[in-house]
Amino acid sequence: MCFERFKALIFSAFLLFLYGCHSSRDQEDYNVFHYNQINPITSLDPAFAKSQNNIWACNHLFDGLVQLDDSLNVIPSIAKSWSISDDGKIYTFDLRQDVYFHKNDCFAEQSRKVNAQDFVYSLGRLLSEEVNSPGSWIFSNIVEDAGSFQARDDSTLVITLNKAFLPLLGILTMEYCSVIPEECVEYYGDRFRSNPVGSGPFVFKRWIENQGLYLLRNDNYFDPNVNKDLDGVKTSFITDRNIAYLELLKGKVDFISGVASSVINELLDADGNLKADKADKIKLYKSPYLNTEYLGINMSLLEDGPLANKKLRQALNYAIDKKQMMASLRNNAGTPALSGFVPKGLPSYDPNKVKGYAYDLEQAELLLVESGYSKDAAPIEIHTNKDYLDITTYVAKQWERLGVNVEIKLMESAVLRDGMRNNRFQLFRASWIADYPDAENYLSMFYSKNPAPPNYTRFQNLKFDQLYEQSLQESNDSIRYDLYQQMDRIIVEEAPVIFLFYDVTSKFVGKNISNISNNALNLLKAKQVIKEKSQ
Amino acid sequence: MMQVLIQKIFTGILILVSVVILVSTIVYLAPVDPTSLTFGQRSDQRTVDSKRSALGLDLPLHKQMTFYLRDISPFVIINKSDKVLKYYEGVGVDIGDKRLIMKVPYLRESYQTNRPVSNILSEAIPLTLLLAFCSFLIAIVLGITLGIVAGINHGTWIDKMIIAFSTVGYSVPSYVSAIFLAVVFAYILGDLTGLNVQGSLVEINDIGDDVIVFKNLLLPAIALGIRPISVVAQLMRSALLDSFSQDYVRTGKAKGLQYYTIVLRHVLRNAMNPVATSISGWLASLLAGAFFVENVFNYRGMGLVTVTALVNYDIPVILASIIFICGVFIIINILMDYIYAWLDPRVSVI
Repeated sequence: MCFERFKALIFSAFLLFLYGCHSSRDQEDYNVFHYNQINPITSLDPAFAKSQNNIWACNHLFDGLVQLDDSLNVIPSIAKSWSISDDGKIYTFDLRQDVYFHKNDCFAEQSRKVNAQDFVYSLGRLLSEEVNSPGSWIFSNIVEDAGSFQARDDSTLVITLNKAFLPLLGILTMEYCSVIPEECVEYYGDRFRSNPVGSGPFVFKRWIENQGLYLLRNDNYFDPNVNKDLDGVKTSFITDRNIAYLELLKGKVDFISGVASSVINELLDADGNLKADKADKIKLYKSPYLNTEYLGINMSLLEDGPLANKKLRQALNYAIDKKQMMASLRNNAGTPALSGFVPKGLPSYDPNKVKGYAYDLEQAELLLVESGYSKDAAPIEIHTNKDYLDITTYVAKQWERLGVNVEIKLMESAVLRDGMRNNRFQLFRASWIADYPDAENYLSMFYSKNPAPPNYTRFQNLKFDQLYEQSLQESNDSIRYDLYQQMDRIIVEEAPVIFLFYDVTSKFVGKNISNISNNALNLLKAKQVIKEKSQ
Repeated sequence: MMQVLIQKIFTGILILVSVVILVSTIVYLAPVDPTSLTFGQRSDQRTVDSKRSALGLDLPLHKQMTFYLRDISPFVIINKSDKVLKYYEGVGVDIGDKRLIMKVPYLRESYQTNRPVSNILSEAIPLTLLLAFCSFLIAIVLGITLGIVAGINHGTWIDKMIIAFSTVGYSVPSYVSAIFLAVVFAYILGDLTGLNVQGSLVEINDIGDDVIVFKNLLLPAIALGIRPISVVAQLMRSALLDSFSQDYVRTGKAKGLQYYTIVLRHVLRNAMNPVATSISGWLASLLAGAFFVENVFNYRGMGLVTVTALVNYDIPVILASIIFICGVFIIINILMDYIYAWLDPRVSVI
């Protein structure tokens, strides 16, 4: 009997222990910026910074030659200045001499200065077949091989292109182009992905995969404009957007990007601003987001199907009431795509010069008749995944009202993406986020010599190709923007896509957070963030 | 005896290999190129091809499968020049230009993260085992207690309440009870209980140190334990009721023993037999339930690892998880045959 009692006692003690086991260490002196990411980080190696989850963390750990300011201008980072040869093929960078790598065991003497040779190594590594970096495409058509990157001396880096390519500076701001020390990559080998050594504003401390990442401020950082009061950055990976949002309301998380569509109505009013009762707990920063949401049409699969007819594609574009769609499905968080494919937020965006498809049912009906669409035609299949289902359903309803037979094919994201790549779907739901802030990144999706991706629509147009090639060599901004707009008008006219909307970024932060970077690429720069301690 | 055991182990291995072949056929034949999922929205074909060949995905299906079986097999004869050799950890002897190796199964690296799968599993398995163990503990202690209380108070409202509770508990699937517990105790009563809706056992605190957050184990363990609690409570109750009519209870009463002494010392011991035999049944369902419960609570065990891998077509992780799960079931089944025999001498292992 004693034994049974003892067992019960042990059990209650165990329950109490489970419950009461908190760390009682004093953490209040630390000023840590804590953000949540829905998708876990897959690697801290910048050569694998392929998506936002990895990019944000790498942006805190590493630096490149150049960086973007919040208006998306290219500004110096480790490169103090640069010059471009007259033929646009040779870029010469003058590097700072006061940048050091983070202290680490992989160095013979704790740390060392960043030099031009490190960039030669880091950029060349992206092209290596052993690494198979997802970032290899950035140089794939513009440099010969790794020998195109050369160090003239410790502080001078020369990049030789095989053709003039003006968006190069934009490309160099990407996280892929961060500088890493060769000896550390060799020292850690396959484990470099979880033992990153860079020169960025924060130093790696701890990563428990899928659970948390902790970075400490780099006291030796070269840029004096970082917030020295911030001790560290912590990332958690709560996978459910609703729960992340609740944690933000509780003040346990300082920052989240975007919320689940199920709480949008509770959170935002009809204009997409924070409702008054939420505004005393959190703040919202909005900015255009370089993300165009669209339905793509695979032009190579149409044969004699109805979509092969340009007038039908135009009719389908006219038939969608995008303003109402945004108001009812997104609380106006996002801009209806009434211009071309190049989204709001890029300097060459001008809805007056590129006029897209405003809602016009009469015009749509007229075009439908002209296209000779038969009511008995087999339904047009829209391939989508569940994230896009609400928008797709809305579009399908609008098309049915026009008199077009539509069927929605719901599938796993992986299957959708594979089908888009491998020529399996005529019509698919997709979006394109700018890799670097240049309209070229969007227009390259319709250049016939590009494979899929980026040319998912397999669009082919001689005039377009000529304009595209011309634009790559045009150094005068206003002429180049004019070329971009001409190309965009061709896309509108030929309609290889159904335009939906230009996205916005929604950054939700706690009341005590300020100076959060707000830019159209949705970058997070924790080095500037100010966190006031709650008393 | 030994022969039977060897035979059983051999059958187990055969089952394991067939499962690997079956599952890998399904996974490899899926209309998805797993390499393309490891790239961002843009990639160049040369690198995609080079990655495909690095992962061996350009080979015919039967070769991919043979190579995989070779990697996971503990014994292998291989050419000395084979590149894969550097991944094999073990001892070997040279036979001409070939090498015979006894090794740890090489489970390859995750396509998504390039992390060794053995590393991923060794992190996730203990977490799932701990979760299963805790719910097991909760089930036994709570189940037996409830069963005894119901049995002693036979026919009263307490008994009826417990019966009702255990019927509901048994019928509700674990993912429903998990969501229910999360909403009630971590969300609605969250301020009162201080529990998190999602969270794993080890977290990083504000100074960058690891902390073990035991409270994150509580709700998942209860959610997973609810079904076993109900089963144990019902079995315990009926076993108790049966035992009350036995002679030794009357003898105990006649000896003047206290009521609770009779229950705890004599009745309980005799009533335990059916409970113990039912345990084997739950181990399997515990593991299956852990998949759902882990996903609800974002608890980083095997369940979450497997589901995430399935979504991303992360083939090495999918296969390794399935091997693990299959292995556990085979081992449990073999062990259970012996445990039955040990509990009941009338049963013999054939």
